[in-house]
Amino acid sequence: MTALLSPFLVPSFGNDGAIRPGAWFRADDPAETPVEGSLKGWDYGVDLRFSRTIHIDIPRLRSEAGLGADAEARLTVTWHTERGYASGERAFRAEIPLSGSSATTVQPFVDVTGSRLAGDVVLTTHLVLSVPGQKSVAMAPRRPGSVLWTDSTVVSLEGTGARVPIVVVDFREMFAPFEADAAWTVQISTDWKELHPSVAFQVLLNSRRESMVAALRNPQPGEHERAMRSMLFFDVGRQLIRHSLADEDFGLDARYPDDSLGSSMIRRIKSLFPNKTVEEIRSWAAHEADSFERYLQSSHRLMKGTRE
Amino acid sequence: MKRFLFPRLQATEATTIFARFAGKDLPTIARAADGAMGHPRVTYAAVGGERIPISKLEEIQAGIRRIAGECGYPGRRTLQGQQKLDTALGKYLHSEAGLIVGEALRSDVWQYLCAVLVPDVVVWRWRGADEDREVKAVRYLGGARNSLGRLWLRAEMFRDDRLSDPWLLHDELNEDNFVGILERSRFARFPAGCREVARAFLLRRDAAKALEDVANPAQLLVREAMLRITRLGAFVSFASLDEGELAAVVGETFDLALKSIGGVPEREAQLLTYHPELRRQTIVRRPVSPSHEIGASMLVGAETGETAGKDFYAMNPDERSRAVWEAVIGQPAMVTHELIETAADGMRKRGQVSYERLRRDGVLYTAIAHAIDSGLKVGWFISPARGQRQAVVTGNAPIPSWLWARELKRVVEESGNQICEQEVPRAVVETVFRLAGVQARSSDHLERVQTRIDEWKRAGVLAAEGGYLATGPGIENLPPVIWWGR
Repeated sequence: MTALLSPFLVPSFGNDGAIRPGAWFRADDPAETPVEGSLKGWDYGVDLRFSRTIHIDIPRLRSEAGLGADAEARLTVTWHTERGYASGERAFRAEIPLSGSSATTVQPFVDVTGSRLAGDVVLTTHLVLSVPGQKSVAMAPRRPGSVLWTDSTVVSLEGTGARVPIVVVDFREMFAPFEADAAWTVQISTDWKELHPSVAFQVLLNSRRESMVAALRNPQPGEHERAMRSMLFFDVGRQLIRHSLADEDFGLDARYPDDSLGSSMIRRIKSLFPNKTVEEIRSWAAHEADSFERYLQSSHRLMKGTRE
Repeated sequence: MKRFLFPRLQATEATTIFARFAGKDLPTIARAADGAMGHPRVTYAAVGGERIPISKLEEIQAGIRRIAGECGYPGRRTLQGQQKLDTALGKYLHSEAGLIVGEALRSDVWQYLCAVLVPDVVVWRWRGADEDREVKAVRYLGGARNSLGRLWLRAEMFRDDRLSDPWLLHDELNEDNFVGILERSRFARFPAGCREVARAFLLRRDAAKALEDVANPAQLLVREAMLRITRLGAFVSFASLDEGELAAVVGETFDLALKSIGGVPEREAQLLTYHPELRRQTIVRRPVSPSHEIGASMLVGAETGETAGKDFYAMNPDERSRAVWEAVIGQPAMVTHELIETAADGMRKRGQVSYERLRRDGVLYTAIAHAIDSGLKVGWFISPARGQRQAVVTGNAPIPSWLWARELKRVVEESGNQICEQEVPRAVVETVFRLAGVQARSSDHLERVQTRIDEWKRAGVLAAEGGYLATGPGIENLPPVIWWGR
């Protein structure tokens, strides 16, 4: 929250103030959990809806800001993104007549288009003067737009964790007709070992499998959706391991660029199969495939919610 | 146009690439870029869209080089050529390159485009053919001075759909003007303010240019105005102002700035006679209610109400009363609380308000209650019983034709499609008059309903047999008639 050094009278704010702002939360979150720090699961295809409640004690605001009952205030919310070039827009406005004799609660809902964001979103709430009225005191704000109170909340959208590169596409447009109903496929680049993971492979998800797409996009997945996610991420992990083992040039002692998929897979395989050579792992996968698959399921905690 | 995820390149990689170009001629740099789109160090956003195919990157590379070619590339640079390049590339990158806005805001995307896709054009723009000159890092690294990113940003911020030529502001401003506005980063994050500043400046640019004994008076006007706007921005939220309020504040600020450098301000109405191309067109939001479907209806008229498409919060008190009236006219008398909920619901369907839950102590609820109280004073609402309210048609005002149509349809349907045709006009008039709060009756109304019945029979909406009326197959084609309220 910002304490204004203002050339005019402004109302108090905070728990005991004339303005008592609540925390922002995702409007689709029934628990109304405060949005803090970073937000999981965002991408350009995910539009965001935020809300909060702001309690305004009208008579007290009027008195503290020196405004008359014929004045009007306006509550606005803007969002902007500031990673790289800054850009944003006003997303909510409510007029608040100051003639009332009781408190009022405003609940703004702010819709933000996901594709217009670049890694973060800053939600700024302003309570400004919109109509000065005739009955204000000398030190009261006069100019429309004068800020009576403001606060900002920054929400980081990508976090720092690695994410599986997933693209939603219509399989009918990309694959043979008899493959068009597949749920997903993992595409791995030929020079995968040297490339950054975001480029070295990608998971294509069939847009026609709407429940699968919804399962990945739902910020609060249910039991069924968590199971679907678990299945997908297990299969991706399994395919990457099998692909690595099938590549004769791949070795646990090889040197690949630090942030490449090759070095990531070395770390991953070493942690899954401690004290084993790559030859021993290849042999296990080839000659005891059922045991190997059981181990992969177990170590990936399939259906036990490792990726929830 | 399809939009894609673009490759991203770290600043260190871009710097390494440009270091290799030092002392190289343009053809060598261009050859290095050809076919190098799949640079091994690029990354992509993990999720959120489809990665741009190499063929599309090649298309963009060719597009940028084509535009550069029209501006002198790879030959001698001219100031005019550079200005033309900046203007044309901004539009191209914004409208044709297929960048998701979120991607275009990112530094690493522009680093890729400058260092990998078209380094030859970047070098030509800033170095020309002089191989000994160095291209400064700010021209290929992300930020306000990136060769391509800054052009996209200008297009994003100054394309103005309110003008008859949306690109007018973008095309008319020069490099110094853009920098003078966009360097005020807190103000410049919202396009509405940037556009209003550009418009106010262009309206007064001639007046500034006419000043003698002032060096670069037009740019001085921008600088003086932006200084004032920045100072004002310390305690005024420009983003909270409506379009008209913003235009007034910015115009007033420019007038003060013009005066401070010796110019004479004129009224905006006068300025617009010199520059009619800067007149804003009102953009009316289309209502989200079914009212947009009524254009097809010759049967029920095409009324949408005086306040259709207007934001309830942007209305003056009279308009608010009218909007609430339009949302509930045709409803029977009900207790005030129920009427407020009905009005809120009706206005939400018409796209005039948005809310999740209507709180009794909330702003919207209170505003609707005030609007009904104001409407009571001018006769738009009556209080037929204690605690009850009803919207009524007053004086000689016409009853909305959709109300006639809705009630005609209802009377026939509620009779079980077995109503004597002769009884229908009277039944409809009585219902409509009760709902509209109208006391007087005349044979005119009965005749009008009969005329409507005849029209509907011809259109197959109603079917008559043996003196009885029923709905016909055309009833399915009847557009929704409940446009106002429920």
